[in-house]
Amino acid sequence: MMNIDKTIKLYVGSSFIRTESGRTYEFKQKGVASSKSSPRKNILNLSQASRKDFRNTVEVAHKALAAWKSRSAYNRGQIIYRMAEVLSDRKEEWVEFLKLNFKKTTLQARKEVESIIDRCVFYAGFADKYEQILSSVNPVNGRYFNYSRVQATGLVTIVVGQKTSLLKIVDTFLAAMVAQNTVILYLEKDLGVFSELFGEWLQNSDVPAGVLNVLGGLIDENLEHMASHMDVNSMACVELKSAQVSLVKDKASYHLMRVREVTKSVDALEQIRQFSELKTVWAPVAF
Amino acid sequence: MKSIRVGDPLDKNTDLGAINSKEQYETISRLVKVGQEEGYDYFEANSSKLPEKGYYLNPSFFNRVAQSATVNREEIFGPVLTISSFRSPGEAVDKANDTRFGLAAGLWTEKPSKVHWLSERLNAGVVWTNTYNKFDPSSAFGGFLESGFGREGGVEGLRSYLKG
Repeated sequence: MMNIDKTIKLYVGSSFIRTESGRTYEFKQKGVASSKSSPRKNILNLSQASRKDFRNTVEVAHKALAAWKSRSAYNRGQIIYRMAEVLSDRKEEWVEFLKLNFKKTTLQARKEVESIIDRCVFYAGFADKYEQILSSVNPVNGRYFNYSRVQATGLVTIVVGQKTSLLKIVDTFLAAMVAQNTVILYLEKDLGVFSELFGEWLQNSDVPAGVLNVLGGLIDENLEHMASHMDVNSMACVELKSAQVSLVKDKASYHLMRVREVTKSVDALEQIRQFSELKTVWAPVAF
Repeated sequence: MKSIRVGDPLDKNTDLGAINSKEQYETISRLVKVGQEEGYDYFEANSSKLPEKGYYLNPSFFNRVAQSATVNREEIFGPVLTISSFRSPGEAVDKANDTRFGLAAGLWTEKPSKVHWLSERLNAGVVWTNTYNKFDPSSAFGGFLESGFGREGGVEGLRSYLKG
């Protein structure tokens, strides 16, 4: 039987969609397809997400926010744990994918996927524990009960530069999800090939629609627009060029969007904290 | 509101001092004018005589203000309140969160469970419950959204002084 190739699409609100713009860009598979009769490098046409795609995704992610936040911490942990379970099941598929598309060796690919599974379990455990660690009861001078607690920043856009490792992409979005945010993941160029893989993984893991959305395309084309969008509360710049980060910071200054630069690896808890806001509550103590 | 004493900020009996700059005085005056032009009921407690020198304003409020009103959408940063009504705590939260800003919120209720329910949902860096305008160096202060970055005070406030 002939092979039916999958069309790689964007993943928005639990649906696999093509870009509204109808545009595509080419992705050359770096490895060789395993068919012995005709070993060849394939060229895939990936959806090139437009500004309009981004705006539509912002709407979807915003709508998903309240429901994601109102789930119990334990339940969010269960969902992220299920991501580990599902990925464990699909490990070989992912290894093949990395070998074919990015020319990884079996050993490299397996190591990378196993690290991601580990990371999911790790973050799943934090889901119902980070709030205790990052919150505090403050000894104010006076008869007041005063506490500070973390809560979601809101809608986080994670813009991922071409050179980023798969582990770092997953690590960053897991931290944002654990911190109760909804996420738009914007992957540059070749990384856009992951949108389908991520989508299938998330859908099977019962990650609610709109919590994590994946777009692929050209960063320079959309960055200014994404950084100025008034409904985006936070933007993480993963392995972006310094000029790109400056542009984001400049545009963010108009609506005080939180900007995070993810270059070196940071402590997971610190990462969750940076995707959170701190709220302090005062209440009088009396009898 | 009539009992609020406006006057010399260095006098300990004064409740309300002067506006801190001419620019801010003009901003407040402009927004009050806009509120009146948009048709909202405006009340000013003018029983006290304002000092002749300095940028003084009487405490005032707008009543029955719509969410779309300029005085509700923009930061006045002056002695001007806007009053809107609500029918349920849910509606109160929706109205309170319908803004680009989120520095502080205050709520009054006798029900502790409501304190927790509301304070969790109000998008503000500080929520004063059954009190208002309290500050302490051990407690973090700072805003959500367009009300600012970072926190002053508390453990969180220390972070800005740390490396890495």
